[in-house]
Amino acid sequence: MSRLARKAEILKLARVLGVGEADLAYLHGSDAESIRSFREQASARLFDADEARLKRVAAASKLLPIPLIALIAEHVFGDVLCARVAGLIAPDRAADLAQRLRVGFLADVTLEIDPRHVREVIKRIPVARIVEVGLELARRGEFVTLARFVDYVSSDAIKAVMEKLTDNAALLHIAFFVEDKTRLNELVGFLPETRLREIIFLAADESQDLWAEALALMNYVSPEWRKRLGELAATLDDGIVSSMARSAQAQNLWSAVLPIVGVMSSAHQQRLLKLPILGDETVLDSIVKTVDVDHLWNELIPLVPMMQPEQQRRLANLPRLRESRVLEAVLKATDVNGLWNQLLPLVGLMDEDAQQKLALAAEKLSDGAFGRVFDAVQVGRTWAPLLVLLLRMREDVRARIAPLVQKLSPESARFIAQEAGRLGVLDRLESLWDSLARLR
Amino acid sequence: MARSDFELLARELGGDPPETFHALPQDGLASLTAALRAARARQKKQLDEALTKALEHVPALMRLPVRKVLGL
Repeated sequence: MSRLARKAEILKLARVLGVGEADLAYLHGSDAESIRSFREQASARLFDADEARLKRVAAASKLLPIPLIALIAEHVFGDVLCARVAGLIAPDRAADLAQRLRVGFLADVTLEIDPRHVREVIKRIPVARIVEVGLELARRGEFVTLARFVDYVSSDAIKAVMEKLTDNAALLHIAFFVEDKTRLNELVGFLPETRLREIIFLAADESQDLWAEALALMNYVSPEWRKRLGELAATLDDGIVSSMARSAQAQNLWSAVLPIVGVMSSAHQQRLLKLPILGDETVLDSIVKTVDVDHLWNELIPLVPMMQPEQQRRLANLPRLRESRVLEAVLKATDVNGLWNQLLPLVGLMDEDAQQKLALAAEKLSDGAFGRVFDAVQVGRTWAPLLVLLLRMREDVRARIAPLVQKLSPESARFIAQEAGRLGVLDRLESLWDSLARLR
Repeated sequence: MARSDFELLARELGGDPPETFHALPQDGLASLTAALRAARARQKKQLDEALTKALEHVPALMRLPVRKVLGL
């Protein structure tokens, strides 16, 4: 998600500075919040310049009647000067003036204006006029500007624009750039379900290349809306969700997909995980890479039990999941999020090298974390994979765990023995812990 | 060296950029400074042109006082 937010911010900054997106390529390592903060500083620097001179122009305009100002504004002052003066004249007068300008010219002015300076003017402009200007800007493809105004325009006006703006691609582009993401919940609520479906179908049309925008929207809305939109997509045919997965793979969008899958019902999650593309080792590796970079283990690990056995085996044996740093991050997230019973079954699917690497990483768990592992395993009865790991740990680590073994119930001890028998390691069990042997 | 580029950007911006911008490459900071400088110059030029154009519609005798009022 951070990648999409950064992309949106770079595009917005490029707009403010009057340069191309490619000119700001060096910002791709920066976080979205820093770029946004810089953009606001740059906008203020540009917009606050010459204020004294502009105030004199605004003061002079008081002497003239509105119809004459409208004429001068359009034919003499031009869009840039009007945009700068708009916030300096009385809001009622400015709104009256906006009613008298041609829609095309008003759209030109809107492109140059900083909406923060004309908040009071916008409030006074009738909805019908806002719709006219909004449609004109959408026709020109000025989505960044439209998005900037979403924070300042009334709900009624936004709803009216959305009803008239039938171009769903435009809606997705605007949503991508909206500053106040909390406003998107309200905006999505204005759309009937049929239109939401149409938007998802549009995103799935790979010639349009709109999954990034659609996924960004699904991430920015509340978890309730995210679940609803995600499930709406998941109920459509496999072609739609496969298209989403292909785009996620091609454009590195897994960090936007996982939080959506995470809030779906388990039935929808299972259906998604059965998609052939998600069984591909390269795709699984991309997912794990993204999860590692964006710290999304809490989104991926709960999905593991729903994966197909072969999918689980491929995941468990990925080279990336043999790196000690990555494994330590996996174990930490598993512990913090209470996901031991979801993670441990993978151990049985790992080859010996992968098991050994995981055991080495697990040796670094604290006593408290081992306590939580034992608590979880008693509930989930995932003793077999835990035993496999414990048998691979060094003697001193096993000794550290001995007090936890002493606390086990006789029932758990019997179950461990059964599991050890099944794994063919019963003879090694007693060498693990005398106390377990006694309990048995 | 990078620090001085950061300071040049801060000067152009009229305040310190976000702290994380210290990590930007030197030519990135210089490029941002140049882009902001160009945007400011472009805007000033547009504004001057708009005001000058507006003055052309003022009767000749009135232009000087109006020019003074508008600070041109």
